[in-house]
Parts: sequence; structure tokens; C-alpha cells
Amino acid sequence: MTLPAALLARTLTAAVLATPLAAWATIATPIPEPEIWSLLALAAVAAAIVTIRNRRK
Amino acid sequence: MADALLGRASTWYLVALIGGFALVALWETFRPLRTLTVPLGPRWLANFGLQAINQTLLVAALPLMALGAAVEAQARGWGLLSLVALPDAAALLLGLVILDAVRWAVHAVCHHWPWLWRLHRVHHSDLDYDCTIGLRFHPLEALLSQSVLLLAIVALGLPPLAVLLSDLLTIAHGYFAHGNVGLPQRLDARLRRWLVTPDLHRVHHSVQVNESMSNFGSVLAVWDRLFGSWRAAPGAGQQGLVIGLAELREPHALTLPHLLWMPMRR
Repeated sequence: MTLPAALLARTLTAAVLATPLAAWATIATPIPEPEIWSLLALAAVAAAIVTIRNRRK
Repeated sequence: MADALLGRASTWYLVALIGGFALVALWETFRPLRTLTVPLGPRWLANFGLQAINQTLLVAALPLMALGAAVEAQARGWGLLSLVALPDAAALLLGLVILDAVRWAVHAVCHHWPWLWRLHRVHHSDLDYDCTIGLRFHPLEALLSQSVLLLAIVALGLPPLAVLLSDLLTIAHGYFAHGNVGLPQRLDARLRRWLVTPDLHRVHHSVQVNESMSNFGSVLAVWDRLFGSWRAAPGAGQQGLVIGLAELREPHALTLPHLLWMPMRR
């Protein structure tokens, strides 16, 4: 798999897994939505960086 | 301009938190200064796990975050600065300097008071040095240091713009100072007169106690110079420097649950 494809696959997987969690957290907790999305975005960027680093090994 | 910045504060926080990480992490990926010694996955899982817990806990536990407290204090005319008619620029500069000094003092106290060191050693327990250490704080330490900052902001009546800029600078600079990166020597030499550089802060994460008891600065290096805790370089050099704590060298003892429980352990 090429690097762009791997990045896209990992980011999409993260988004699919995280969306129900984010939806639940938004409805069920007092945590404001921006906080949840910022954490999810941070996790997605981290996943992308890990993919790049693994490819460079 | 101040209103425009403050009106989009949550966007700027996002830019600092995510953009700062992305920039330094990419820099580390393509030009790492040192070879990492332990696998990245478990370390990053622990460090990002702590960030997720801390971000959630702070919002849930504190009535206001730093910027909200500053806005509230200004609206109610609280704090020392509300008694003095300072020009906006002077109040902004003073606020930035005071907040950095408060962060320096909290950090130094965390190293000198044994019960606070129990919390803060979570930050020092990582076996490698990279930008994610900037997120690695025990939730109780995050809560405590944020509470001290809130008190300082309200007691001094610091301007909201100073609080916002200080927060953004501290977040972005936290990634940079903890980065596994090196600046050209001449640039580092110029910057470190005033600012904390990665080479300077790496000394603080040394396994040697005499080295970790130096360079407490957050953004400004001047406090360490003023109070005699400034140290130019590690004894073993940047490549020979051992990161972490002498008593905790096993990666399997540094997972997220272990880190959360660490203050309760001797």
C-alpha cells in the first residue's frame, strides 16, 4: 500500500471508530464538543505521523 | 485585533494543540536529533492517554479555564492590575511575563516538594525525549497547576489577551522544547539567552538529579538565569544524555495505568 493510501485508510478507520464515541460523549457528558473534536483530531494526526515513521524505517 | 483573536480563541487553541504537535512531530520524523530507545506506540499511547484524561478532567472539574477566568475577572474589575491604569501593550507584556514566571515557580516547586514530585515524576518517567512529553502530566498535577494559574490570573487581574497568548505560546513551545530536534548551534546560542530551546530543556530530563534540578523554564530562560538554576549542557553531551528516572527503567512499568498510579507508589 502506498503512503497516501495508508494514511487515508488509518485516518478513516480512526474516524469510523471514534465517531460513535464522540457522539456518545457529546450527548452524555458535560464536556464541550470542541474539546472532544480536538482530542480526536490530535489522535488522527498522531496516527498519521506514526504511519509516516513506520514507513521510513 | 484583540477582539478578533479572543473571538476565535477555541480555533487558536486547536491550532496550537494540533498544529504545534504536527509541526514538531514531522520535524522529529525527518530530522531526529537522537535515536529513540524504546518503541513509540506504548509511549505515545500513554502520553496521548494522559492528555485526553487531563483535557476532559480540567473542563469537567474546574468552573472556568484560564481564559474564561481572565474574562470574568476583567468584567468584574477584579485583581491588582484593575487598580492601575496601564497602557494595553504594557499590561499585555506584563501579563505574559508574570504567567511565565508563575509556570516556572510551579515547576520548580514540583521538583523541590516531595509530595508534588510524586505527581511530577510522571512527566520525567519517559525513557525517550520527544514532543509528546509536553503532554505527559499526571491528572492531579494538571489540575493543581491549572488551579494555581487561575488564582494568579484572578488575583492579578491579568488581561484576557495575555492569558490567551500565554496559553498558546506555552502549548506550542511545550512541543518545541520537548522536541527530539536540534537547532543550528549559532541559532541555539542566540535563542537560549532568552528562550528555552530543546537542547536546554533536554538537560532537565536527564536521569542525573543535579541536571534535572536545572532549567525549569517554560518559555523564557531568564528565570533560571536569575535564580541560578540555568545549566548550559548535560555532562554526557546531548547524544550521551540518559533520559528518565534512575529508578524506573522498564518500559512495561510505564504504561498508562502505571503512570496514573505512580504518585501512590514509593
